[in-house]
Amino acid sequence: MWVEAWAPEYGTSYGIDAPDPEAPAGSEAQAEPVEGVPWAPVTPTPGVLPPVAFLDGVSRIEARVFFESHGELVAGLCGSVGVGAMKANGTTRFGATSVHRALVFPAGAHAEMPFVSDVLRYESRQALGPRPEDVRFALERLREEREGLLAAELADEGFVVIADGRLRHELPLKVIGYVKSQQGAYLDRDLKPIVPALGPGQRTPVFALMEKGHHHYSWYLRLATSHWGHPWAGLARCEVSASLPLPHALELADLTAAHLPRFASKPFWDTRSPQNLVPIATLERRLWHLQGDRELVLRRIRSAMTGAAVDADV
Amino acid sequence: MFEDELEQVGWVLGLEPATTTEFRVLIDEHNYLQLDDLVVVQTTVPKIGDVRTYGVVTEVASCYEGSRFESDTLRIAEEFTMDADTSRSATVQTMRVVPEIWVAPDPGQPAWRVSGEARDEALYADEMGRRLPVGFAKDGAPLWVDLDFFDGTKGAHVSISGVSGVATKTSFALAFLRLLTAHHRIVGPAAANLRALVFNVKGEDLLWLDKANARLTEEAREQWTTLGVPAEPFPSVSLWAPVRAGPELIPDTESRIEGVTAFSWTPLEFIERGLLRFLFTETGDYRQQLTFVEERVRAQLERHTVADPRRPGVAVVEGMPVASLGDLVEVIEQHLDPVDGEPEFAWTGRVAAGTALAFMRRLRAAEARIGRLIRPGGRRVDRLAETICVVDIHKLQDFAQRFVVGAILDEVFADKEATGQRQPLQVILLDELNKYAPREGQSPIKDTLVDIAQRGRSLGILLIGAQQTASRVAQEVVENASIRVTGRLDAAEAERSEYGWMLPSTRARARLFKPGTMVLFQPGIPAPLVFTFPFPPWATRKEEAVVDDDPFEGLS
Repeated sequence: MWVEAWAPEYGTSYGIDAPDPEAPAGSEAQAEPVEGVPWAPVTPTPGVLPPVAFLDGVSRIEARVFFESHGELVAGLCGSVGVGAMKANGTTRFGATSVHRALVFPAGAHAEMPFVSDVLRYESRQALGPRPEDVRFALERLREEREGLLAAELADEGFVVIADGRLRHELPLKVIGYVKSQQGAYLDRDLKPIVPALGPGQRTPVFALMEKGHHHYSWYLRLATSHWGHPWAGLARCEVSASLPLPHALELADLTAAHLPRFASKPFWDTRSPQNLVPIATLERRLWHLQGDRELVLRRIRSAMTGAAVDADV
Repeated sequence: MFEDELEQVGWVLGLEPATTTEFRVLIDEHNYLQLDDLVVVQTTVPKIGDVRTYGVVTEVASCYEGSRFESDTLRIAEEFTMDADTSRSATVQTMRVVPEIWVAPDPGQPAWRVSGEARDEALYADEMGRRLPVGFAKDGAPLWVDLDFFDGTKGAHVSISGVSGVATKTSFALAFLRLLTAHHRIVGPAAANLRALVFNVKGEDLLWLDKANARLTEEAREQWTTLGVPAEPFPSVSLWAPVRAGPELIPDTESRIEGVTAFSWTPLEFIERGLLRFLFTETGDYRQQLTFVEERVRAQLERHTVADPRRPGVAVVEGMPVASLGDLVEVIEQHLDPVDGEPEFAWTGRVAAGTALAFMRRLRAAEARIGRLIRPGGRRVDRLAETICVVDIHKLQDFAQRFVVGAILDEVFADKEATGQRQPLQVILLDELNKYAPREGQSPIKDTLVDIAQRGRSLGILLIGAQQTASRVAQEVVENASIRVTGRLDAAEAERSEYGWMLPSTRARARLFKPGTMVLFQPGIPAPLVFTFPFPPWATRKEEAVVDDDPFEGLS
């Protein structure tokens, strides 16, 4: 038996379910090796790390708001997202960071917010649907949009961008998606066994994943092992767009396998070690910090709303 | 207003509250602040207008913001897996608020490095009637002492503390004297007749005050010029040393005899001035009633003594000539411990026989130790001959040193009391104050010093006292000094309450001061200020003295 390295409240880094014998075959995307080498751990030789930018975003709900429309209460939210980068270019330095705020209501509903403060400016956005989940998702969409813009800027500056999370269509072509917790059972019975055999600095050969219209090249890599971890502990999966030429994808695969272990976090340092890389975790904290004191923001919003209500009564 | 004149070094920090006594400054990454720097912050106070807060930097700190573990320092600086902001900040102690509206400076306000006119305002120059430069502050510009707090106008006396050898107490005291006696214009009308009496207790350092120092560097020379004084030795010095045993009046010194005058007291002076009491200055003497006996004996001597008409300086006590201390002891012995008969009550005051005998033992011991100082034909110290009068007592042992200091101080005090005038001002420089005015016990010297400390202002006697440990000196003496100066302090001593005028940060630093660095506190400025003073232009020993006369001059 083994104990999960992540703190329990964060879930687990290994979420791949046992295959359901009754599910139709091929319901999950299946990996197809494309590298043209024997299916065994690959140990790339570490060269010099090119300029790399770690990209991440955070979001939070700052207030739940309501307005009345035709006798019904409509629920929405005030939220903020923060996006930023950590540039590793010889040294590791904070890159551009920014915070954006939005007032979101369900599709079809529209309301304006009273002025809160010069710093707390909420732009109105519409959710794509009427349900609460749609409203929440609209905030995430804002984050993804902003991440995409930042990734494009960084790619133009010549950085290899490593974005936390799966690739999305907003992200430009050459971005590497970095997945911390494994949910998909992509490798079939024959391919799976080499994963536990990976050592730190090694990766699986690159395979292609075709799913839901997104075609990716992907690979698993081992960040770190510990003598008390289970065989799939300390793993991460990276993916790049399959529109990239395969040799380029192989270069990126080598780069991540050889260099990311250096950025892995230790258990005492982070609750999701080693997958929560030090630069990304530091960036996250900086973004939370830049979003501002939660209590203060909520108080400001309340003051603004009640002030407006008083004015409206008059 | 400050934008044009001063350099901005940072902003008032808002993370913790700024108060009226202390605030912190976030230092601009392209600038710096060090300890003892002076800064000013301007705050717009509602209903009042602009208020300028001046302060002195008492601590500077730096840290990584966002670092949670000590190992993060490696991640940031070596492994380059993390980044953090480097935060540099300074803690500033408020010194002055203009106008005097004591509010806290606002966070986010620019903090400026003080210089020029702002510096004058920070250091209360406008409130100092007469400011005498005494050294250089950390910014290289002169630091002043308000003379009103030295010469008795508003306060008096200087107290200098510090570890022997490193704290440069005497060097500073002499530098102060040099500046005081050179800046006639600043001192005012009293300057012409100001006199300083310096007791030399350690080595022959002070016998060379009138000779130039061969080791004086150009840099030091310029520093003296900046302070307004030519880099030259004291122009007006008289040197005195105790007379040697023997018939000739030769001063008891080794490295220097030329220019040094021997001093002594005649037996007549000894009796008329009641110098007997300065042979009983041990702190235990009072308890043992020796001082009681001494008072009786002294009174009797005064009654029964006349001057010898044929031999000046010789006393005649009840018909018997007294030409030395030995003679006097014999005379007294006849009354206190006669060979045949009982001791006379008029002389002993009915004390126990043992006490009278103890008194005699002390007298005989005194005769052995200072007998040579009591002789007819010599001169007493003439403290008014030159501006600086150096009395060298370093070769005398403890008992004799106290006798000389006691006798001379008493003379100074009596003369001043007789005139009742503050002027001319008499400065006294005395080291090892814990020996002459100790905290415990009583002695006539301590009485005189306490009197000087308490009444010196109106009498025009100004004490510059130095000691290694102020905690061992009589409180009345230390507390009455308006101006406090400290050099390097012993760590345990620095904790004592006598140094409460220093900030905790100053106290911690005082343990590390180099020779020539001191901290000054005066009533006009509510913060202690660190300063340095220049290397002396006078020699401190024979080897340093510039030889300016050709021994073969005049010979063909």
